[in-house]
Amino acid sequence: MKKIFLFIIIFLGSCATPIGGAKKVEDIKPQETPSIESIEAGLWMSMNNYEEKLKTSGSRLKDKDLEKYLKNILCNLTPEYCKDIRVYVQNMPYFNAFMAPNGMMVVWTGLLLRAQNEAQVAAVIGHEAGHYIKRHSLKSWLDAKSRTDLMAILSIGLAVGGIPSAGDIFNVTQLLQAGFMAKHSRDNEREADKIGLDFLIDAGYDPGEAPKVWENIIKEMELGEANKPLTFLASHPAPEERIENLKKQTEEYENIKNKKNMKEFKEKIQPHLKKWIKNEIRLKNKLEQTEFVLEKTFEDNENDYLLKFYKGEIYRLIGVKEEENNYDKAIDYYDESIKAKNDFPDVYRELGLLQLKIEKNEEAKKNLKKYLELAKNPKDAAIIKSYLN
Amino acid sequence: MSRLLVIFLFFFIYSCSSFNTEPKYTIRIFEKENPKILLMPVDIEICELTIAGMCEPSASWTKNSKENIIISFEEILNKRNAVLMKYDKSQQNDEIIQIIKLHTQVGQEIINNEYGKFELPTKKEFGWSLGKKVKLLKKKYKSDYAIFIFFRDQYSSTERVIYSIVTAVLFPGIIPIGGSQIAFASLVDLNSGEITWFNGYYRSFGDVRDLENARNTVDKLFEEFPG
Repeated sequence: MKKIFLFIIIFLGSCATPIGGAKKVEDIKPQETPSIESIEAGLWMSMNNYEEKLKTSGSRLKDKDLEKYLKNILCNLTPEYCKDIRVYVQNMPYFNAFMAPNGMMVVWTGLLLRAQNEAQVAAVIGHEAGHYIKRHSLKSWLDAKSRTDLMAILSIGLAVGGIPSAGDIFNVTQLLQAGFMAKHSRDNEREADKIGLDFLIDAGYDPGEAPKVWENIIKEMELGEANKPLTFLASHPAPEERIENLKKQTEEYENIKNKKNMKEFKEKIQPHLKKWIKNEIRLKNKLEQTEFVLEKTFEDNENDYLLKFYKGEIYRLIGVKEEENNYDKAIDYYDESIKAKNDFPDVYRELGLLQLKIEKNEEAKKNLKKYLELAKNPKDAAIIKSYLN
Repeated sequence: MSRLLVIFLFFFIYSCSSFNTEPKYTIRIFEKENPKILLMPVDIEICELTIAGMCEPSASWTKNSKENIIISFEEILNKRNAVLMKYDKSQQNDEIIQIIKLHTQVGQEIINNEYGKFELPTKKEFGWSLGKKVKLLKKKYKSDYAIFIFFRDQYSSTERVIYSIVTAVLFPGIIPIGGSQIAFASLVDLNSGEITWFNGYYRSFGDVRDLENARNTVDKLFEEFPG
């Protein structure tokens, strides 16, 4: 009886794709589509369905111009694959971007908020394009399949082989699985990093901006709680290692240019900044983390009044917490913002409303009046006026 | 070996058990003769279960199954003298996609509320709607009704079937599940948006990959369809 089972297990084992078999997968060619019988076609089908829904999803940022701008960055990095990859921006206040096997690239607003210039965004887009070209989704799928198949077969095999405890079987197979998975994922990331760097340098961007993306993320992470890593990092290798690799690889290139395109990028995200920052503040990350993100966003010092204003917003939204009153701090920041630029309407509005709340009525009215004057007939004029009486 | 026999017997009986659908409707017959019914794009995904139970989407199975479902549905309409209107993908726009998405959502809610554990205590009558927006389909396709079909199905790979049997023999009591099928369909009045007929089910057998079996499945899904 045992022999029959062992035979079956060996038979099943031979059906499963061997671990590492996925490595034979070749790069996808420009404008290539998988044949309908292939596993890849199935993955494309699923993602095409998802993409159709994403297009009209409420979470998609309604800014075709920004999406077009990101797509142009992609096409500039890799004209060959320009037709194959679509770029979407999703309203999510976390640092993340991902690539689906069918060419759907999604960038989250939290990433755009954290990027300091076009070169940094290009580094991420190039990296994601690398995943597409190297067919990493397909490879990961094949790998996951062979790993889980192996695990299933091993659990029978170990039982037949005379290890009775189900707990042990679970442990052995789980350990094998975890090890393969982590290694595979890291290899893919390294490969995509290399392609991204190639693209970045070819397109004339400053390659030093690629590791900077990670340096900033590390700093932000360190300011938070250690056990709460950012979404993007859960499946990625240690950023320290990536920074090292990127810096080392850059040394191998000649003709390095230093295009950063900060101004172009800042202009494109400008219309959304207010909302993105609000979402960031609402995340309830640690105060230091949110402040760090803001400091990076306004690093150029040109818009110091905005940095001060949003810092004020952070403290105002925290309000009274654990017996600590943050309103005074908020007011201090609003005052500093006004000192830096005295005709920004929003700051008078928030300052006025806050003063109303803490019953400094005279000052409140003065600031709200100033708001109405500067904002020139804002949408909320009626309600603000009602506070003045 | 007797244990193996028992297991086989179990599978045999399991796969033969009949299933009951429970169609819900507000109309029994079409008001007008030869009504025009627009078939919306069938929302379908078919996958193959790997040994360990991962659901691997199959584009070719999905394509065949979709064709089979459409042919079978057309036959049902022919018997009722209703006219099938074909959906034109090139005419698709965001508003239409939103209607399709809404149907998937509403259909799942109907299953939860009318069939499942989450019955609404005060909702006694069957009354659901996709809203007046559907009128744009009426205008575009000159149709009286639209049919929405949602279909998800899984089939075990050969390796998984063998694996299931081996597991069942070695560890009595543990039977890795085979594929399961979930489907629902709605007939929507394009004047009012009202869902005038609905049926759905969840089961662990049935096949739509060949036309013969697809006919049986679709017949069952369109049980008590008006006409």
